[in-house]
Amino acid sequence: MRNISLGRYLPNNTLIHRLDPRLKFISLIIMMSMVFFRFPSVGMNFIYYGILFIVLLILMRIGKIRIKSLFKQLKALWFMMIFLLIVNLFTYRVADQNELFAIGKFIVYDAPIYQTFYIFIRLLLMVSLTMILTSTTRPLDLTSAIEWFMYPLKLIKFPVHQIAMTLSLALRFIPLLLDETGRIMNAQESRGVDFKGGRFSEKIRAIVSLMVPLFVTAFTLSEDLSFAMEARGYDPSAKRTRYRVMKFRLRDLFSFIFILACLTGSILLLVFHVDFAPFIIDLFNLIKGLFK
Amino acid sequence: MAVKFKHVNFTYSPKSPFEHDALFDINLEIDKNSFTAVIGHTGSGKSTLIQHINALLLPTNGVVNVNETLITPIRFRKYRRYLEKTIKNKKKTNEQKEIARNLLDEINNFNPYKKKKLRSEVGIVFQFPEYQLFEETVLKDVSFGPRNFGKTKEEAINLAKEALNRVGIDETYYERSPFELSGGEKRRVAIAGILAMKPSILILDEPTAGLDPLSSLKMMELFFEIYRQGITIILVTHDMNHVLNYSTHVIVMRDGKVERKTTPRELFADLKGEDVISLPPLYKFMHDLVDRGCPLKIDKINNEKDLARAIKGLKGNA
Repeated sequence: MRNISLGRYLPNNTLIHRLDPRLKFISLIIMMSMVFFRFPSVGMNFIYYGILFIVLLILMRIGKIRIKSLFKQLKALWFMMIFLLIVNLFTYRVADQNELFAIGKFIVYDAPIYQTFYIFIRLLLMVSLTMILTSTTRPLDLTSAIEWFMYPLKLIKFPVHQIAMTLSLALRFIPLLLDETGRIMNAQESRGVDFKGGRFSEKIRAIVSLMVPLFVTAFTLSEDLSFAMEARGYDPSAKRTRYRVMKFRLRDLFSFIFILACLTGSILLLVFHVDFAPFIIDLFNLIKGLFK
Repeated sequence: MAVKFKHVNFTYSPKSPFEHDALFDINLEIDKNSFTAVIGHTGSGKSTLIQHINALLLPTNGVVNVNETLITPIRFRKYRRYLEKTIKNKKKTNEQKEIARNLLDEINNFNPYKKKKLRSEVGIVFQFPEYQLFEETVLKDVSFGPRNFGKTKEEAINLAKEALNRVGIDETYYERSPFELSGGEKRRVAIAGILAMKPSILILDEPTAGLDPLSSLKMMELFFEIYRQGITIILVTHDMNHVLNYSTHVIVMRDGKVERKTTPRELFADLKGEDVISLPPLYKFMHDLVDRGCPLKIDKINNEKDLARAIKGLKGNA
């Protein structure tokens, strides 16, 4: 709990860091929707996800994000996947599935296994995509981007600025509360609380001894903050200028074209039912033949 | 020996972008029944140092010996094997082997620590301890510590009452919510929560920060009283007056290293304020006098009376 590093902003100066946050936000949404494309053949699905994964690794490389850190955090996913696999084995049925093997009367088909794998890889891809966004974009830039996207809502008198301010304040509080959590955990552990082991009733008490002071601190902090803002004349409805002005540059344009090209490419593959799998198998056999 | 650090290094979040070395090769002994002050600038590693004493932080390398039990970076036996390998490894320098040998010595003579026992023996009062209050009533909150260390309800409540009495919180407060108390009262209740555990080593991280001078003085008197009853006290502070008036030893930390360990009088007699945050007024005055050509022997003077006598003597000579 104490060193949550997944998706934390890593100050760096890479190409991805310098991109416009609005572009990064849009790209995230486009790439996330691409994750959900599904091809009719199993082989093609695997190839498609493989390609997406490679693109992702390249992006992480460019953004100087350690790939190892991602896998470390995903250890928890394994448990979920095994659970899901068991559920899928019993419940997931489609028309074209092949029998793999049988345990007594229970027949294990291949479709549920593929299905579980798809879910796993989709989760992995989505988590890593979001991680790329949040570790290369300052939280404040991200909220500015969100505010920009919500701009049309101002026409229907939606309090866009207030919402954005609330969002950025909430984001600002995350590291503060994490620090505070660490501090309170230290104090309670010194009083004999065991946050790792213990019986169920002890665990409940441990959590209460953490949550109550955390809430109290959160309220104190937010009260202090609101006083500080008021003391500096903050008025939620006033017109405001920005410290950091977002600019759409040439590199943003090229990145956007690249992302759109990827999207179009995938859609075309999908629409025309392209299947690389037999081709790859042929290629594989050809190479194998060459070596014989 | 209450606490002994041997070749302790500590790194925050190692192998991550936030990696940060906080302690470098700390070798330190803190005597039983001593009142040790730890001073140094912000970020010099004071808080990191004290969190090693009850195993909230484990050393990245080296061992900490607390009440004759050892805190090791990894599991005891694994660490012993690691050290034995280090000694045999030809690639390591002689210096590294010497350190490993020293540590192995320590490991062969002592047993590993037990977390619960250690935590009950070492009480830490963190900075602004009032943030750790959470129970519905003052009495319940103070008895929380003893209860965690396996005391029965009655025993815990008795310990709590005794501790509250010590910090000057009377019976009328027992059933009140800790959240409706004033800042100073909250602080005292939180400190009682640690005292109720009956630790043999009491660690205080700036316990008087944010208190008014009178409450601060009272608080220090309380700690001094506890020290006189035979409890080892380690005090992290920026207040040089507290260092001078109460401590028997002082440790000066700088950039994650122990710069010196000495007695407060020696420290203030030697330094002229460039290394510590500020000199106590008595020593500032004496150094100023010496700077202006007054032949005082600072190390012979212990308090204002001595100083007055010394100055009087000087006048006679002139």
